[in-house]
Amino acid sequence: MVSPILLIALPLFFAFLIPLFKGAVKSIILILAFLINLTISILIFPYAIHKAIIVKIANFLPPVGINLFVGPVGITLSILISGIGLLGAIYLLKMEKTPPLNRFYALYLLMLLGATGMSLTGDIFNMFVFLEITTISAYGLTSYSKNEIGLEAGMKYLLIGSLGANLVLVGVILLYTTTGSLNMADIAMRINLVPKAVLTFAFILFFVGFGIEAELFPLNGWAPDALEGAPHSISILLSSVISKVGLYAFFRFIITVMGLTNVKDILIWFGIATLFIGELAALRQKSLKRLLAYSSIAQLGFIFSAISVGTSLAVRGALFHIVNHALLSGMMFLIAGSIIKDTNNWNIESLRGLGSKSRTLAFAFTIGALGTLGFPPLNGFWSKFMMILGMMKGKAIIPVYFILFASLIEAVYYLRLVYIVYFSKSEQSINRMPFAVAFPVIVVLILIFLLGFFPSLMNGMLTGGVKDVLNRSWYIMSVFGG
Amino acid sequence: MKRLFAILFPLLIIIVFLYIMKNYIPFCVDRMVVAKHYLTEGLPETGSTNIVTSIVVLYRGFDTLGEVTVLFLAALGFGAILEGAKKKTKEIVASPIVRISTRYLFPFIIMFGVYIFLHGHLTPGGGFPGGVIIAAGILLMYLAYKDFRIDHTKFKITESLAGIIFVGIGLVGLAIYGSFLANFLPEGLPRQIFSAGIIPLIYIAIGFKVGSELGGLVGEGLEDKE
Amino acid sequence: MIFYIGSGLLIGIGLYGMLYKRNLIKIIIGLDFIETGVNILIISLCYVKGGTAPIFSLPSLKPSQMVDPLPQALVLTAIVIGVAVLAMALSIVVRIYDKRKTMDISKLKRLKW
Repeated sequence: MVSPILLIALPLFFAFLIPLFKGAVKSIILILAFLINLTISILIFPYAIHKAIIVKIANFLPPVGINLFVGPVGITLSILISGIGLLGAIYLLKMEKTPPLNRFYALYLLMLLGATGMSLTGDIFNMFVFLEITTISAYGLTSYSKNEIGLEAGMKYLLIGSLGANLVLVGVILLYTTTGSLNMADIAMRINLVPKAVLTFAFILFFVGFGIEAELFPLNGWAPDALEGAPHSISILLSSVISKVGLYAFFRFIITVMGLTNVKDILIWFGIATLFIGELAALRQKSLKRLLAYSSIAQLGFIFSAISVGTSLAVRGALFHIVNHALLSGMMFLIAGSIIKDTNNWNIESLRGLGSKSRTLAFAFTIGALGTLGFPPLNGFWSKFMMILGMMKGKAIIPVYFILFASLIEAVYYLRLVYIVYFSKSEQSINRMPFAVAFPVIVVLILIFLLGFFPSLMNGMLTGGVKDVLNRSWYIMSVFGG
Repeated sequence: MKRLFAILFPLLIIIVFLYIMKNYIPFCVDRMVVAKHYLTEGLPETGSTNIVTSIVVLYRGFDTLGEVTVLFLAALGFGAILEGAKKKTKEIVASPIVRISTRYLFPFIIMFGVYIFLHGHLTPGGGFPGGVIIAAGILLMYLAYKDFRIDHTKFKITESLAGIIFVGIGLVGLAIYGSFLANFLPEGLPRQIFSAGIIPLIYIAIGFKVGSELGGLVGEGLEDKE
Repeated sequence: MIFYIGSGLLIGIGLYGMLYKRNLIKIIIGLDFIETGVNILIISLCYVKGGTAPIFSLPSLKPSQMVDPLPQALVLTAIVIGVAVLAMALSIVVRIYDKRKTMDISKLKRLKW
């Protein structure tokens, strides 16, 4: 069986290689790195969903050494990251031409390496280091096109994001100094040694710090700008993958390490606020990417509330929605990016006439919109249904009212977009879709339909995932008992 | 009004923070749990007399790998974002004292940096401070001589190669012991320069990497581009 | 305790700078203050009364007389990460000044609601 550490070591190796070569070799290395990661992740997947794999690094057992915790959620995130990273890499090989290219490829690879590290680590300081790797490369990539919007978005993201990371560091130190260890499972065992006041203070620090990365209200001021201003290939990744690992890190710290269950209500309401304000903001948007950005933020708020409720059905739905939303929003940003590149128009009016000019893109866009709304038989339907049902089981009825109302608002603006796609005339022409756009779109469409018609494919991963998120003793036992 | 908020909000945070620190986290009290193991078992297990080094390279070598990656990222991003910018730095001519003394000091500065990263397992310091000292020497040369240029290609190759060597050492450990970054060289006698397993090798790689990285960064920042 | 007050003050001043100041360079300096304050906090937490540096330079040193080595390793990493963030920030500022000839954050309002 392959050691999961290769998921982090090999891309790093490749990333150091990329600046040494010129020309087509760079593209080959980039695609190769993602293919290898995807293959290894899929190979490990069947083992990881039953019993978490603990990898000790430098031959020292935890808590003396660092360990990787490859559980169901971690390996699924790793598959998502390498899969969407691969599709994004195919897209960007054709679409990104800003020089210097070799640095772009290396930064792209490193950003996704950081995200993989965040989802697989079992040590709190290591989580901080990988958080910084992910976000620093994201800051650089957001400003890469060096136009005014990109630079401004990058600066905002940098200032808010690094402030959040420093707060996380203070929280990590507080946990270390009161428990004496940096290992997640070890701290979870000893959490009773921490005085209540310190625990509360650390909770606030982690809430703000990881909340910034998870795009929670009111800490997501940077997110619409970054998602709009980044180069199109980076927006895909920011919305589908990077926000999810921020969410994962948040809940790993709050639920597993610190074991705080009495803050559920506050978290649910912050999630609902993110959802509601996101949908309202998307309603009045005229810029296509910004609209998609707000919609993406809102969906994250929905997932956040569902996990906070804590019933196993709600968490199942939330984990399923993490996968679904990554696929859906990634595809939407990809389509938006290629349309904007063709028509040079950032407004939603650029969708005019898409129905007659490019049938595939129009169809994919419509499926993406319907999937996000939760129309059966698409994948979004199952995950949203499970989340709402789970929240009702958890007695969170009033939030469900807000969610239903927000879905109504969502339907309004998405259906308006679909109307523009199919029922407006336009004289502008759209070029033939290159392979770099067609291939990712078709692959994601197949996956969306597959998950929509056969949602039971996800059962094994979801059951294991719920245990991973909610069951602290299972986590501790996996690290120390196994 | 905004100023009032900007003063009160941090003040509130500081007061809460200090209250918690004062009452719950007393100063200079021994709270070590994992660290006790490092102190008592560090020398026998790793062979390095500098415990901080053995933590940085062996026990928590993965964090160091992440740190090296972050520096790599910063150099990439810095160069990429500045590329194509029109820059003209103000003409500052250094005085003869600076120029002559720099010419003599520069080799010693480089030697000192190399000494620091070579002896990382015996004295305080290690790869990172050593590399920074080398970069500081390069900065000094840039400030003293306005025509001084470093060879960017060589620096980039050194940087990438050093990083590959670091990951390579880790992979060798994976192949031999089944664990990434495992210590596969003999521990040797303490207080000798060739001891402590892979620590000198990794610190040499880090020293070269940081030195060439930050030197390249300094060069890109200071050179004029029209 | 004086170390906690010192680091807390640094973090507070940095926060004030980031919230109130309008010049981008000053905001970045505020971020630097916060990072420095956090590093000082980490280091101050590892001190043990009467302890010495954790290096066995003489064979007679016993582990019970040493300070905590772990936060020192953490600070090494944190300092380097801080440097990386600052480098990235400053390169973006140089480019912004290049394009817009201003470093005033209230003038950079291209992206609005």
